[in-house]
Amino acid sequence: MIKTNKALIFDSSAIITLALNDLLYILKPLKQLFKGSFFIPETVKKEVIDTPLKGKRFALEALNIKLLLDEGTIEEISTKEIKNESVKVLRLANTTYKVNNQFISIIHEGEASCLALYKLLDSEKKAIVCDERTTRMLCEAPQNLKELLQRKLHKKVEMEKENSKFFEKINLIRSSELCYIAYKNGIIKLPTNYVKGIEAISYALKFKGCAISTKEIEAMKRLRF
Amino acid sequence: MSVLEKEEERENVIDILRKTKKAMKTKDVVLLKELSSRTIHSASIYKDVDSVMVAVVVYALSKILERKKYTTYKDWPKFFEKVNKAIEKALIAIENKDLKTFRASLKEIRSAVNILSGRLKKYIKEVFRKAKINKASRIYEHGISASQTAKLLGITEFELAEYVGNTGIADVDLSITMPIEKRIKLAESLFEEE
Repeated sequence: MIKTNKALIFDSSAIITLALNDLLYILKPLKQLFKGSFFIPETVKKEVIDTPLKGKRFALEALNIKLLLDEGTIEEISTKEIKNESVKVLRLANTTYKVNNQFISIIHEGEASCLALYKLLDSEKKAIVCDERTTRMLCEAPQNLKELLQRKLHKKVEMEKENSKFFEKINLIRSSELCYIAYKNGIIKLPTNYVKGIEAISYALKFKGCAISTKEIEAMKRLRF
Repeated sequence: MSVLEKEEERENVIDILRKTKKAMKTKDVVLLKELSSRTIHSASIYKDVDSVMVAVVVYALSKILERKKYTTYKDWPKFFEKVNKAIEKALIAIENKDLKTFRASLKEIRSAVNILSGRLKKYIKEVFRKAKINKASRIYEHGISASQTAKLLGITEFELAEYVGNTGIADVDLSITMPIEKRIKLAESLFEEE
């Protein structure tokens, strides 16, 4: 087990949404407020830094993320334990749904390593920050994911309920909830009222890949601080 | 093992390529788009690169034919002829269960862009890049994770995120797995002092 008092584990999807919206700057003050660790597994680091740095299109975003890593705001974590647990997570996740007697591989190493790290963290307060919906659905509503697969594939999908139990009770938040906290605490400052501000932030995140629905954004606008 | 070794999938691709050949002649862009979606299910289930490539190539061809302006470039006839020949070659290869030649022919379609010059080369390269992202978003829509999808299509997750953000994928009711009020409370509880 990896001991830490509090931890947020970032999946590549959430870091990408923040990077594409020039919102990476919120992470440093958020970490101070959080008083815990912000982790990225080695595979996530590859996805958000190493791979985009090989091209031109997203090299700036990758460098901005690297800056956070270099200054220690986010910490890369890589152990043999995580690698072994990731293999287990991948095996379980990718044998949960079956169509035509064929297992559907639904997640990849990046997401698996976040789930593995979560399982290995000995912390009272921990969560995965994940903007892509498949991992979230697998953990919070595996039946919904089964229905979605069925609907899209037009075929009967079988679900291995024993496997899906492994993914229960995993805390997941998105960049949208992080930005809500950042806005509430004055880390994101906007020259407008709450409704307009939270709407602007949430739609910006949505348009850059955060899997938040219009219904959820509308509900968020009614919340106030 | 390629999924195209399964008879049902092979027949599907043969049918797609036959119809693609005809649609190229009649410049039937709508049909090409429809055909490009037909291998997405198998690509999602089997993570099969061959099925993905068929989808990408046929979709790219629909987008290329959609732009009538491209046909006015001097290099166009050469490019069009090379693409049609490669489709024919791919069709014969898959009919003969020759996967090696089939894959090489699909590659030839994509590399036909290299005989072009100037703006047309740039445009068509971009069409192929965007076709990959479009098909990636369709696979993500099927319930496959962002990272898994990006790997399969050979694109970055940044490209996929930008594209899917502008679709209605996140608005599907099944995707809402917890009330937003509850998730915000969860996030806030994480930030509370011990």
